[in-house]
Amino acid sequence: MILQQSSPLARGPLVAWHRGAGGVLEQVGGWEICVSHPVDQEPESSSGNLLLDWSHRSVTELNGPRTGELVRGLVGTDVAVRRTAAGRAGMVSRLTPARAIVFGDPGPEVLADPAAVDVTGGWATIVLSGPDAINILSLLTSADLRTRAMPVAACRQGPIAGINTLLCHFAGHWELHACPDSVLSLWEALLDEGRAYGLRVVGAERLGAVVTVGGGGQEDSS
Amino acid sequence: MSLMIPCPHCERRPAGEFHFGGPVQERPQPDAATDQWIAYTYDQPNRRAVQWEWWFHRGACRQWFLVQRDTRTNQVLDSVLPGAAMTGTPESGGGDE
Amino acid sequence: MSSHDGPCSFTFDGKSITAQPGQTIAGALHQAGVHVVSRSFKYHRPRGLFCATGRCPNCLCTVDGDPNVRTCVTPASQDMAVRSQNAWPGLKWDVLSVFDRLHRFMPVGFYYRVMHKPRFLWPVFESIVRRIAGLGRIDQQAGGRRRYDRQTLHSDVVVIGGGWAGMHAAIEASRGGCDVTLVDDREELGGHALFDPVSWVEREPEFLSTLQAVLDDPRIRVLKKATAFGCYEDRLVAVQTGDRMIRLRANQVVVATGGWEKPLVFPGNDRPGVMLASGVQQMLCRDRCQFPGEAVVVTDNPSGYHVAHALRASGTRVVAVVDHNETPAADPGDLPVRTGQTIHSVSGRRHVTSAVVGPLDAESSSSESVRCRWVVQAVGFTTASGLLAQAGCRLVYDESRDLFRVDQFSDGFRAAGSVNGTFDIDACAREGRLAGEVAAAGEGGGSIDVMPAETSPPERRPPQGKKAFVCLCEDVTEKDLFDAVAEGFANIETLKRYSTVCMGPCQGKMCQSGSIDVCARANEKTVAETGRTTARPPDQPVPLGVLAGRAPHRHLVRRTALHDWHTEAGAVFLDSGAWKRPESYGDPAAEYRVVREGVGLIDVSTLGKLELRGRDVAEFLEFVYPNRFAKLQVGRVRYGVVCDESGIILDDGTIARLADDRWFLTTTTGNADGVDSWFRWWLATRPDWDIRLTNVSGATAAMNLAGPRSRDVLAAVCDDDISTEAVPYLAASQLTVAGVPAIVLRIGFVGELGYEIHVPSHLAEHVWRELMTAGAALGIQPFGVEAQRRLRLDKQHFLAGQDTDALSNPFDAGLPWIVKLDKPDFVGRRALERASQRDPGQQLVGFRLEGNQVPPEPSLVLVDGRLEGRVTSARYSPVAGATIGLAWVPAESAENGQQISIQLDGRLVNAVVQREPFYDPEGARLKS
Repeated sequence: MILQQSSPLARGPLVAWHRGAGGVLEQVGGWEICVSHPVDQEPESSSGNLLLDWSHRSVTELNGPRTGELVRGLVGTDVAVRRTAAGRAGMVSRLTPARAIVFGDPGPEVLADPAAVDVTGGWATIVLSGPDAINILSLLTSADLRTRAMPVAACRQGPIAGINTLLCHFAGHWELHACPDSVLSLWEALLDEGRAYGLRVVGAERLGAVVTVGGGGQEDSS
Repeated sequence: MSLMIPCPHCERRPAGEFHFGGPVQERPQPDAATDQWIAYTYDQPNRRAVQWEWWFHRGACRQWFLVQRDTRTNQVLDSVLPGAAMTGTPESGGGDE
Repeated sequence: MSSHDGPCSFTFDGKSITAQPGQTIAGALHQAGVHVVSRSFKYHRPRGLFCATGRCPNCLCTVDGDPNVRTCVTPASQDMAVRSQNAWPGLKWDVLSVFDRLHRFMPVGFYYRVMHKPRFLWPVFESIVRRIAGLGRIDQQAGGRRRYDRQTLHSDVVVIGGGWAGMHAAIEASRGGCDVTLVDDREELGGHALFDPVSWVEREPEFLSTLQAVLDDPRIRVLKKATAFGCYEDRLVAVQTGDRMIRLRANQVVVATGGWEKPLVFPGNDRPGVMLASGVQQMLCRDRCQFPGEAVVVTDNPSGYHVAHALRASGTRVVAVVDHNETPAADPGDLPVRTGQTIHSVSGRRHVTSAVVGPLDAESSSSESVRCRWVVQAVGFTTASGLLAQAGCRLVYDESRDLFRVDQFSDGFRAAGSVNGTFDIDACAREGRLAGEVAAAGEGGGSIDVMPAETSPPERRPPQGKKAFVCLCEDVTEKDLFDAVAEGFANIETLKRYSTVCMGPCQGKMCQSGSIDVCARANEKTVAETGRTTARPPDQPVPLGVLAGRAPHRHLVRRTALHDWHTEAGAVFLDSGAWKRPESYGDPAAEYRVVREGVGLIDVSTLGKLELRGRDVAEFLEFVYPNRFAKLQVGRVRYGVVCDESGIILDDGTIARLADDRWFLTTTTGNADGVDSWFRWWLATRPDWDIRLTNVSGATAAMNLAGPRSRDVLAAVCDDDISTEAVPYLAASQLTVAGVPAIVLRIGFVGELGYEIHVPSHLAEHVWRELMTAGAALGIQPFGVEAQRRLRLDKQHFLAGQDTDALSNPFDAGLPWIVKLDKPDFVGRRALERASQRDPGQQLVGFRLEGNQVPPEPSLVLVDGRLEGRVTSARYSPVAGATIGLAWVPAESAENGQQISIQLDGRLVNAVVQREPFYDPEGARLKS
């Protein structure tokens, strides 16, 4: 006996938080996501520091000696360790010579490759933007965030608020990728430190405005 | 602890991000003498010397690598990925000093 | 705020005090005529402002509930409530000042010697001593209201100290292309220049342009009101500013912390009115205070003349400049100078009334009393070298300058200015520029040339008489130190510990040079031979709240992808490490029943999950597990324990083969990271292995559908054939469950037909809801960790880490079959081989206890009255009709049916050993 099944609906780890904070939830592309928050309707806040949940993305881990080859296939050129580059369908962060994470759908060919593991749901993404992003981060991590150490297109793994986080720097924003089981703690820590800077949460409707097209990854893929 | 450890993947990071894995020791052959196995399994050398040791970057890339450190001064002299050549000093076998 | 616009008022012990703009609390008190601001630590002597530069203990007050605030460097603000400390009932009449008269009965360390007999009275004495001693009272509520935070900053060059040398170092380092952080603990940069107008009057344009150059330089980040209090390994500089701790990581550090003015030791040197010249200068310039009446200035260098001129300009009558030199150290103008003399003592109790001055040589007794209200000392500086010493720089005694300075710098450190013993303004600038240049080039360390001092070592007159204080913090007199040395505490380190000199709030800033001097004289040694005590952080006082900080990582909570569902369902959560797991949904007994009789669903997403791919995975698994995997068929799953080289069980879990070269492993909740790290280590030792390990713990959620009706529920949401022929016991199947690709392991931790369903985390809630919907007609219920623990105990399944410990090997834990010693090599093989040959040790066995009393973990197992084991798990089991559990017992008592005794509520109860599961020992239900 097969019961009537609803089609699978994916949820990021922050959905309940958004609901509790009055966010408007909608089903978009198989995901239940928060499209807007009440404050979105207000005129631009003075601080311009924004926090956005971007967990609704395919993520693929490339692993092993063929990582470089697959990265080249996606980006067109190799990507250095600790760098992020824009690929065919998303961003590719190179963590070690033998490990890279692809945010966005890499396509069926890559997914079928034995060196690729679909880890969608294993990474949640928080977008942080605004003039005080670096100050907020400096209260939560010992990372060297100076442009020299963390230029645009750099990525860095390490603890933020005690949570192992992949931090990527783009031209207009930062992305924090972490395991969904602890991402609520990270989100709350950012909001807590961000309060002094007027940090506010916006919905996914604003994604296009916060994350400029192509990210910053194209600027440096050496 | 404010000591910095150079991770071959992530560059210099505070020691608190790492797990110390002990000095590099060669695992005895399966048929080696019992004494050798006992020494390898239970006797942790605590040398005052320059030695190669294992470190694990548990708070970031979660990879093991090798660090050459002077245990007298806590100075880190080198770090390499496993499989790369470890240069310089004796690191295996029974403890000197 | 560095200053406020108009006057403000605050209260001091309830009395209203008016402060002018820019005034410190202490400055306003002084101006209001409050000259006794505290009582001393031991003798409760009245104390007034002494150093006025934030070092000595005299100005410590409780401000708005914060104890031990240095009021001489804390700006006054409106409505502050300032209270004096260490005085009862009040500053004017302090009952405990009687100790001052009893000092001869209270030598150094008296309470160690006097109060420990009779022994039974010590607790009484201790409580009295504790009430009397200590500084200030902590406001127990205040801490919780404060928000402490912690920031990390990085800088190529960190310059500590924003004085003349430090500013030059910062400019030069920036010019060298570095980004620079300049840390200064005052309201404004400038150091000495701010309060020594006589020396700086002609250099004001130069000073202002230098200051502007610092402030305008975009590469120089200036941290004002920020105190560097520690230098740690790899040039981590700890800085406190307000309620924030900044961890400042530098490539190069330039220390330009300047000097501390040294006090003289003479009888009565602690009386209110006796002050250090730098403090007087500070209060004249910064606080615009006056020092009404007469003043005597004691000096051996030009700075004494500067302060004398400044005092006179402010309206003080300078009645004598007492110069140690035979010829005046500077042009005296029309100041009344007495050369070749020094101060012998002062009189006055609540304030100085007169000073006795006379010849410098110790023998001479000719002296003269001079009426005065102020005694100002300007007899040179010692180096503020605490941070350099912490950093491992080698300090040597420079006899010509009478100070300790660095002669060998640690890697990445340089110093400039007075901290090097350099006091000339131009030389300070030169040193600052050099240090900045060297730091920018990344060449700090090594030694530097310090120009030879033009002066000869200063002469001092040993104090003659009592109550000559070396240490103001702890009320240690010169005589106390001599006595302590005579008692055998002759080494400077033991002298410090015994006498507590240098151990008070100033941490030696006031008393270190004095105590070394006394120690040298008492031992008839030189200062160089005497040496100095070890410098340790903190170099400056730091509130404990700042050190503790708020540590967000300590509040890390991990939640599974199903957390929100559990919350809505009313789960009672259990903390399991950082994880929140549903312990139950209200009724664990009912949850137990539903799994045994119908079907239940539990969230097991906290399990560690590893995916291994590659040609050599089978070989790897053969090596890291004691049992066999090479021949495990695709589509099958097997139980395994992970042992270390000593044969100890690290963890257990399941190993599933999804394809020839693709494996899926689970670990226990608590060991997910540990097993990941353990496997990665073995992989790192064999880079030639073709193995790719991906930790999919976060990407994969897992739920266990268990109970006799579980197949029916799964079938309702799965189109694949899941008959027991297609998916038998120990099958590892890749199925589509509720439209989602899933790895389904047919295993039975709880002892029933069951499916452990692994799905992508983001789809877990969908799958869970579909299963709950599909099972609704069959009475499906979610169950929590508590029901699961009861269920597994029926089967005697142990929990690694709960029932096993750091001494448990598979033989003793009841898994001898899992160790395949015929394999040529695997991790732990040699140790397990020996274990197999030894007489067995304690064994982990099941036990049954009649009745329903449940022994708590870890109750003791006794044999003939001897402690021989312990209970690791126990629950009441409905299917066994008794309390059951697991316990470690001696091998002799481990046979089926043997009796053991368990201590329960202070008496012994009998239990019977049972070596087979309490429920379904044949496993028929699992395989159904």
